[in-house]
Amino acid sequence: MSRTMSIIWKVVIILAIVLLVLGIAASAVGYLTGASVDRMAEVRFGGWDSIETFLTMLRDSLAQLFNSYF
Amino acid sequence: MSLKDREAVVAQYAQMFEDANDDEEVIAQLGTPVQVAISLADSYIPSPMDDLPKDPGEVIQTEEEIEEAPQDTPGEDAPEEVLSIEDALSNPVTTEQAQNEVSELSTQDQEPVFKNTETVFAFEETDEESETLPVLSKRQYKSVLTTIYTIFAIIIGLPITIVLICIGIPFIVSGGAAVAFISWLFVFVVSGLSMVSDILLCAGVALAICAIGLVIFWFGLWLSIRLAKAFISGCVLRLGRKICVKKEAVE
Repeated sequence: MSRTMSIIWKVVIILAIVLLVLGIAASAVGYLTGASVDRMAEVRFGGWDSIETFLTMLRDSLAQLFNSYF
Repeated sequence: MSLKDREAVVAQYAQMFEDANDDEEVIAQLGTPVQVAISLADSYIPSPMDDLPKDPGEVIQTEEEIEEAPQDTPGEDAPEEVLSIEDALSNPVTTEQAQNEVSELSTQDQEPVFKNTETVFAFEETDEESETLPVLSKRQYKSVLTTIYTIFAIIIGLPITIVLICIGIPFIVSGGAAVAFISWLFVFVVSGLSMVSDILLCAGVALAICAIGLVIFWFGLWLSIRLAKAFISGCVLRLGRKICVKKEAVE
């Protein structure tokens, strides 16, 4: 049991390191080649205002859900 | 060498010195004290107590001479071939022979010592083996106590186990939620993007967050399993063995 756990731990750690390295590398390449967060927000969400509106609605919904139960 | 034999040998040597005209010649013939002692020790056979030699010259006899002498003929005169001091002096022992005989004597003396120690060790080993024999024991469950303990263990132990499992649940949920949300966000964002650089940046961030979420998820799962297992095996089962099991030695 403990041996299986240790093996899974090793696999998880190796996988996480690989994903982290790949993610950092991809982000660095994208950033260096001219990626823009504003442009992504504008293209996909219609600008930062839309995102802020979406987040406000989400917060209100969660608060209403929380108040109804507690 | 018994006292009487020693006296006989000394008397023999004294007689030699009395018979000789020059003491120096006798000393030169005898050689060193070590050589004389070795030649005496080599040819010495203890004389029986009731058959002490009257003549000091008859003290020293070789083993071969005793074996060759007829023992069942008490009336006949046995051949009185004895190894006297004169015979020993006629064949003086050299230094090399003396050293060889000393080494032989020392080895002969050591052998029984080794044998004795081996015997002692053997006895000690057998004693240790007998002491370290496994004591067989038979387990007997106290049926009434086992039933009561099982009921209480389920009633008390199950909620505690669930609580311990719940300690790891926040980590599991947060890690899984992070992976799931980032995956959805990645698909949602990337599907509407056309710039490769934007896609790379978005994918890179999603992969990094997924890696962290995966570690958090597994940590929560591992924590839950570990705590539950430690509680069940370390507390519930051990206490149950102490209370419900009775050990009886089996001969």
